[in-house]
Parts: sequence; C-alpha cells; structure tokens
Amino acid sequence: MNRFKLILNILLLIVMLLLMDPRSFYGLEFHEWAGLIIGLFFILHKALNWSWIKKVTVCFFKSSPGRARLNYILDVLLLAGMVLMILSGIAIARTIDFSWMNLGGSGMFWRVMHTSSSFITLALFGIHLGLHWKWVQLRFKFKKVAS
Amino acid sequence: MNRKIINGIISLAIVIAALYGLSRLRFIERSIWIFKTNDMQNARRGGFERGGRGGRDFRARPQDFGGRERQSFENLPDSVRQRLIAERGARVENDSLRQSRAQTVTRERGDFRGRGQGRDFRRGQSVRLVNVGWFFIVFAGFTVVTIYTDMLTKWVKSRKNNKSD
Repeated sequence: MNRFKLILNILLLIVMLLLMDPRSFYGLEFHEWAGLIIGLFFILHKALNWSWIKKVTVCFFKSSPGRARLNYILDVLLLAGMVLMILSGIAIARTIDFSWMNLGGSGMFWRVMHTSSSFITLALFGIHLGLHWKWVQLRFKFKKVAS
Repeated sequence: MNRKIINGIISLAIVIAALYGLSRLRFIERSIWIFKTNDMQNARRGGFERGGRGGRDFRARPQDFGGRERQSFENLPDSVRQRLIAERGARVENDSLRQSRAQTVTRERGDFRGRGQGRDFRRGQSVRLVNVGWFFIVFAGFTVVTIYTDMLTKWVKSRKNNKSD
C-alpha cells in the first residue's frame, strides 16, 4: 500500500509541475484534461489517508499533537487551494465545454484566481512534502529503519 | 560527516536556485494577485495568455507588448505596421492571416469555440520544460526550507527539554 501511495504521490507531483505552465507540455488541451484528472488523484490521495484524517478531526481540539494539527491545517489549506484551482480552471476552460455550469464572474477574476491559487498551492505542496520528508526517506530507504 | 556537508551544500544550492526561480517566475507577485483585485489589468499583461518563448513570457515588457501600445499598434495600417515590425525584428502577420490561422487551428483541434471565440491561446503544442524546471526548483526550495526549519525546531525543543531535565 505504501508503494502505491508513493507512486501516486510522485505522479501527483509530476503532473502538478507540468500543469504549472499550460504552454510547456502539449498545450491547453492536456492542461485542462490533466487538471481534471489530478483532482481525482487528489481525492484518491485523501481517501488513502482517510483513517488519519478521521483520527485527527475527532481529536483536533483535544489531544492531537502540535505536529498533527499543523499537518491538518496545511491539508485543509491544500484542499481549499485544489478546489479553487479546479473551480477557476473550469470557469476559464477553453477546450472542454463547461459553459453549462454557469459559474458567473468575469473571466479576468477567474484567471487571476486560477494563477494565484495554483502558485500558492504549489508552495503549500512543497511545505507538505517537507513536513513528510521522513516518510519519503523511509519509502526510498534513504534512511535505515530503526529495528 | 561528509554526507552531511554534501547534503548541506546541495540544499544551499537548491535554496539559492529557488530564490532566483521565485524572481524569474514572479512567483510572489503572482501568488498575491488575487488579493490585489484593483491591479487586475496589470495581471492580464503578465499572464500566460501573453505568450512568449523560453520562460520570457513571465516577464512584463510593457514597451513591447503592453495593453495600450498594442491596441494602437493593431489599429495601424498593415504597411506601417509591417515596417514597424520589421524594424523591431519581430514576426510579420496581418489581421486577416492571423484570423484565418486561428480558425484553422481551432477546427483542427476540435475546439468547442465557446467563450473566447477561438482566441489564439493554443500555442505550445510541443514540449518545452524550461518553466516546469523552474517551478520544480521553487517547489524543491520550499521543501528544503521546511525540512531545515523542522530540524531546527526539533533541535531547539530537544535542547530546551535537556535543560529542563
């Protein structure tokens, strides 16, 4: 399961980086479809860690350690960032027709929202990885597990 | 010990490169665009839709592509505009040609042509990963800074605990 999580996380990172510049990798069509798919991957990532989310949510104000609270707040911010990114992406989509969703607002507003939320979310992803670096080290066996 | 020194040097290099990447991508400025709603016109000029080559599209160059200047430039007669473009060494393209090409590209790609009416935003069919590389370095910079901040926090905590014992 851990290997699957690791592969999923690496895939998420690669796709996220490719999505940061719509012109970098096969244009806007790839950007929009991959943006939608990454949303599903993100939900899968959350689902795989559901037991941790449940545990911390229940004990957030009572007995959670500071570290778990920090991770939890960061995860909530990441979730908000992803939602804003996908929502604004849907609003400004050009190769997939989402006009039926009628999200309203000006194109400029959604564009600025899309850029800002994606940049902030990328920074949050970096911090998230930094806080989980030990887990990554263990998965890649950079560090020997204490027996 | 050697390994620690090598790790430290690599981390420092990543952080320095990330700082350069932050300014190159105008990362901070573009991250807070949403909080500066009054400044949206500027945001448009610096955005992805302006196009460009090899990472330069992230830098605002109002003297070349700025809003008002560009509009008045497009209103010039073709002959004058071509002469100006030739002087600047840029690509020459008249309105009719640009329009027909945008339509052809749109049709070829099967776009729905809804909002935006086929505005030419579809450049970038090839793989050009320069900017992706810079985003990766910035991302790695955030990760490295977090790892070392975390280590520092733990070290301070353990020192405090030792003192209290």
